[in-house]
Amino acid sequence: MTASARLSIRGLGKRFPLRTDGGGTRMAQVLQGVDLDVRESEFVSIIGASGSGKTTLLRIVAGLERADDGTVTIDGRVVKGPGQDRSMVFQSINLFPWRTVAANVELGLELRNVPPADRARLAAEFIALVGLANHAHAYPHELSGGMQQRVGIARALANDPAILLMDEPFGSLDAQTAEFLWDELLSIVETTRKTVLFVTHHIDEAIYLSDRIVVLGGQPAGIREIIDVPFRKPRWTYDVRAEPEFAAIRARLRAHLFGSARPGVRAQSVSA
Amino acid sequence: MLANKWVLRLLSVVVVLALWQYVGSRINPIFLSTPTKIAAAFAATVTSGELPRAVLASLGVTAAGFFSAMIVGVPVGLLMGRFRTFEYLIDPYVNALYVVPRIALIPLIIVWAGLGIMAQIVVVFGTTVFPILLSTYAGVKHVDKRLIETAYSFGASERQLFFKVIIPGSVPFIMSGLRLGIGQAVIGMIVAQMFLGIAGMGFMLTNYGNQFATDYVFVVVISLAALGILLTEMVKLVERRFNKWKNDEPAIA
Ligand SMILES: Nc1ncnc2c1ncn2[C@@H]1O[C@H](COP(=O)(O)OP(=O)(O)O)[C@@H](O)[C@H]1O
Ligand SMILES: [Mg+2]
Repeated sequence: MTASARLSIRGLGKRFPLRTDGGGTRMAQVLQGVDLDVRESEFVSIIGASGSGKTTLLRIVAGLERADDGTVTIDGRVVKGPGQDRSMVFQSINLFPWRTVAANVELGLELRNVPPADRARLAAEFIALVGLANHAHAYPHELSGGMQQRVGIARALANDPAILLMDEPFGSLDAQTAEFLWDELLSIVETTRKTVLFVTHHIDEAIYLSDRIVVLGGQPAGIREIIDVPFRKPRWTYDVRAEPEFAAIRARLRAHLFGSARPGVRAQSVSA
Repeated sequence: MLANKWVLRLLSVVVVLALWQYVGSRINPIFLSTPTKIAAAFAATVTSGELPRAVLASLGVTAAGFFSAMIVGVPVGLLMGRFRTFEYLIDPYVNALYVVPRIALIPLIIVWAGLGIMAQIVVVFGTTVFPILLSTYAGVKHVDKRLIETAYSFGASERQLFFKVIIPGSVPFIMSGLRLGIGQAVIGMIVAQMFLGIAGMGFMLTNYGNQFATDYVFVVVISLAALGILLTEMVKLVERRFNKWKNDEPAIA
């Protein structure tokens, strides 16, 4: 398994300084002993309650944060900082407001000194892929939230990373836009054959999108369970959420996130 | 509604001018003068070439002081905002000079730069550089941290970060610094020419003031107002050009 893993996380631990009542600080262990392998072209979600360390884990993989213990390797190379092999899609989207859509998508290429003509060609290709060909020269504030996040995805893809890192990318969007983008993302990932590490606290989103779901939890947080999601692809061709297995996985994730299964809610979703 | 607004403004100006004419012509002319006398003084100073020459001299000093303040203030503000070491090396002087009224430095400036144009430019520089520098500094501090992190995550070097994120991200603050700066530059120019000038609008002001020629003083004051508005509008035009990504309608530039 390790040999074929694109991303490999071993014994990962992270501590943060925590302010105490006395006005001092002590170190709080946020993540401990996280082991995870992600295969090429696999879509893996990390789910967990708020504050369980999902963002921290993703930021360590992105190279934006240093691990205190353990290692992250991508295609056998140890991660020491940000790199072109990983591109991040942020919940807060983080487009550069003074750059047009095209210039935003070119960011990574520009920072790597790719010649302008190649940059423009690649940017146009990925802008078209996310369905924004008519908006290439718009500024971010002229786009809706959903369109902005599609630019964020195009920007990450244009950099041609081995792994796409996504931190609750649809968390700031309304439910309808988010669900529309689920299908869009699945189709883009299928086209580009990208490996994805996707953080969410949204149960249905995790099940709908993922090949595997990693449940993060505990104090300090570690991996509670890894759930395989069996539904065949492409998933937008049928109603995945009507599958009996969907309800079973959802109940299991609920039990993790809310401490215990909540019969009232489950009865409701069965009758629906 | 819009027409109404302009009607009200015009009405207000006409009424005030009429009152001014009425009151001014009934009291000693050194207090208020009258609009008609001011108009006559304006015509006289324009035809004699005195006013155009003074405006040109003043514009030259203002522009030289403003642009040198920009050339120094923007880079120093950027570097202070971004590099702690530089900030701590520079900020004692910036803070000390900022709280000293610039007029208090005029005797020193006379000693260093004499009584000519150079000294006037130095005074304008002194009044203008601080708003520009401090706004630029604030601009750097207000650059969205998430954009800085985004640039890092896409592999930006320190240098790329500075040129591709910090500078463009500071532009709105730099522009408002320049807008504040141009107003300060006009003030500095007048002060400098009142103290140091043998030409220019500031000199005209002192000169006619000493003669109690109130109508001529008003000519200079009104010209100064026009100059201030004109220069500020020019900076605003540049500002809109740079901030076009913020406007709600697509830029037509
Ligand atoms: N830079 C930081 N400094 C101190 N504590 C932090 C920092 N970043 C995250 N934490 C703490 O680590 C824990 C996990 O945070 P995070 O990874 O953001 O969780 P999640 O994304 O799952 O909501 C939280 O308790 C948070 O307060
Ligand atoms: Mg988070």
